[in-house]
Amino acid sequence: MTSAILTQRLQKHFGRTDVLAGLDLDVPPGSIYGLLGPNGAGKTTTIKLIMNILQPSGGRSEALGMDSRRLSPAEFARIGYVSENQEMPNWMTVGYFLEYLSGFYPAWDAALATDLMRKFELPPDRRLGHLSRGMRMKAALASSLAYRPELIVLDEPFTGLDALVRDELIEGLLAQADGATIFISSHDLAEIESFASHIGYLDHRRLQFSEELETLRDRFREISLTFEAPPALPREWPAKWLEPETAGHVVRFVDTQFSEAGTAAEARRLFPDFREMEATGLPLRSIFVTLAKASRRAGGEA
Amino acid sequence: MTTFHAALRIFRKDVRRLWPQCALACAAIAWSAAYNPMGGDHYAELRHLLAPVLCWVLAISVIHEERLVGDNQYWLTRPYTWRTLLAAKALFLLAFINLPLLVFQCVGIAAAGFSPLAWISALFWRQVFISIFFVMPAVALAALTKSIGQVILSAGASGLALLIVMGLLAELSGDWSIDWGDLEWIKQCGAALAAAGASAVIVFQYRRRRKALAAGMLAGVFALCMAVVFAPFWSAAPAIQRWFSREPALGEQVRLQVDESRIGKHPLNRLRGSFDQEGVRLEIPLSADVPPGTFLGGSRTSVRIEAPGRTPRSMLQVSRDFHRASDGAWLTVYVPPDVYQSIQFTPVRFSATVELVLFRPLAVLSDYDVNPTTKAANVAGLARCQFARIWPNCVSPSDRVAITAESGEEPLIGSAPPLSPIPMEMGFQGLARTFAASNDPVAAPGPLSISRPVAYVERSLEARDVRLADFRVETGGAAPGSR
Repeated sequence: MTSAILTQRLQKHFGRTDVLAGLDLDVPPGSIYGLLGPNGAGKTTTIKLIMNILQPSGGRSEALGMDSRRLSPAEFARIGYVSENQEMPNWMTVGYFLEYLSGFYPAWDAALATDLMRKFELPPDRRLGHLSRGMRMKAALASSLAYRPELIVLDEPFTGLDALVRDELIEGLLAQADGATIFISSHDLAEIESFASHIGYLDHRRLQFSEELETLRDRFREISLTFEAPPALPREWPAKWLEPETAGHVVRFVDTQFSEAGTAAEARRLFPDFREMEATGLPLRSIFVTLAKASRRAGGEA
Repeated sequence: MTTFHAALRIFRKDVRRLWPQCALACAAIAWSAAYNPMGGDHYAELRHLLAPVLCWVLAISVIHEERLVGDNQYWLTRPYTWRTLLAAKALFLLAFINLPLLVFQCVGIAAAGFSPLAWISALFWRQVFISIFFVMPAVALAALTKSIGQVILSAGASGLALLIVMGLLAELSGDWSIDWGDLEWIKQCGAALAAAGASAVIVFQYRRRRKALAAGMLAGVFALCMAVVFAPFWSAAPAIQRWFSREPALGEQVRLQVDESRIGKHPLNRLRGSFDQEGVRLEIPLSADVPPGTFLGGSRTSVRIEAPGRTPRSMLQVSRDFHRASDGAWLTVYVPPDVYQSIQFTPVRFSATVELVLFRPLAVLSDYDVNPTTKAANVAGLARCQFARIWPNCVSPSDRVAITAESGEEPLIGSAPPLSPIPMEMGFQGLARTFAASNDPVAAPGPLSISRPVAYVERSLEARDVRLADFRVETGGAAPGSR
């Protein structure tokens, strides 16, 4: 198996609305892959197609080397899936929920399930319907970790949760997911940044980029050019430089293809009289916001 | 984990979740299935409503435990197949609807003095029809909905569509009759086959979870079922019936013709068990030649009256008013008043196609053992009759035999059994009344005949230059032709 998840020209439309238009995605085994994108970008749809919850309109997808449309109990016994708005059997107690599911998984580890309940402070006798949102997510996660899945798919698991619960979820996830591939979609960029190894950015129905987080961080820099006098932006502006703005004697923009020498040379060509160039690393959140704004602007202009 | 074990696990979970509904449904089933209607039923409506409604709620609830509509259900990515899930649901429905029904029907039958084993085939067929006409539609609707509210709305919409279709058909049909008389069972079997299409919808929805497509399929099944139910009489139906008759050769021996020598000689005292319909009542004297030991029962009659210079009029009637007497038989025909008024004294050509059922008595019991305390008797293991009233009131696990109480010269078929080769009962009750009291008092229990249909007979009758007035019987009291 060369990919934990693979999609090729994956398409989905609901009626006349195209949600995905040829998505190519490759998630390496053992990676922690964060799928980012603005609301409505198609992240949840992508995950549901991969998990065979929805049927694709075109293209194909694989999970653990198996065509998604052919995922069988044998594969699902190796996949853990938790979704933000998953409908749970609210009448079940936490204890019975885990006990009920245990019979379906050959690799279910009862001791691990008990340990997860303890770590997540889940009350075994409490009904799922009586749990808070955060506790329900913990119960769902516990039910998806207790059989040590090879692939863990999480769809917006942190939405609406307070910081403490998010930290507990991430800790629990990372503690039990040793060696597993984690595929996670989220708006919570700060959390994703803290543990993801790979990032994919989905927008305008397609994957805009997909790469290792370190490479991404190296590639994106906020550039500040300082001048003696207030400068004017040139008519010719590189497409790879996003969100340009001027503030007094300074021009700022985000370089999406940063290299020390290349960026400096390009800046000197467009602004021969700048006095100083400063390149600052960007947090993932800033990269995401920059891309989203640029994308929206491009969409608006189009 | 094998499919069986996984299904069992889901089944146990459903029982744990739905045990109060299971208990209520089983209690209602027991109340309905084990009831003996011999002594009348003060709660008949409630009884007939409660068990089906509770069973419906139970069937819908168990399907909705793992809803098929939507894409956020937790079970969608758990390691079991749609087959496992469907097997678990089928097991649940069998365990809490079919099995209790069968058990309590057996209890009711045994309590009434019958051997359940002797009737197991009839009870099996009852389960088949209940599953097809009652359980499967509920399951199919549940498979396409998210909540019981949606089910009620869908069922309401279907009912409304049905009413509209029925209304349209009533407007359009004219003399097109959808009543197949004694051949109704053929239509019922056709409807059952069509309704069984719901099983394909259920399997499809479990396998693919495509609501729109499955809903379209279910609408198609519903439309097909309605098309069968409202189908006009199919000319091939008699051939099918003859094919399934027990003794078709006996039917060949039946001779039937209008006995013109008895026109106008209808004795009013034979007018029992008949009910006035809209129209003028005519009694057509017939000479019937039937194989020894058999007798004819009524079914459908197509009548055509041709008067000179007038448009021929055709009428179709479904009636059991076919009386036999020592001097022959009488066929009752109702003619629209306007037709009668216009041609009553005109010589007309009267022709009719009569579809009749030939019965053969299995036993005639003139000396049977009536319990002096209960005034009840077990009639040849086929029925249990109560003689506390003026006419015997009988119940039987099956309506496939006719029990006729003889008084004087004319037997009366209280409830003629269907001619179907398989039992067609579909109710929840284990026992059914097979004979209703008549308005003709009998001082003491007379002989009881237990008969069953053996052949279907279709004959053409003709009488030329006859006056309708000569056939007329005024149910108010005047003798025919007395005006």
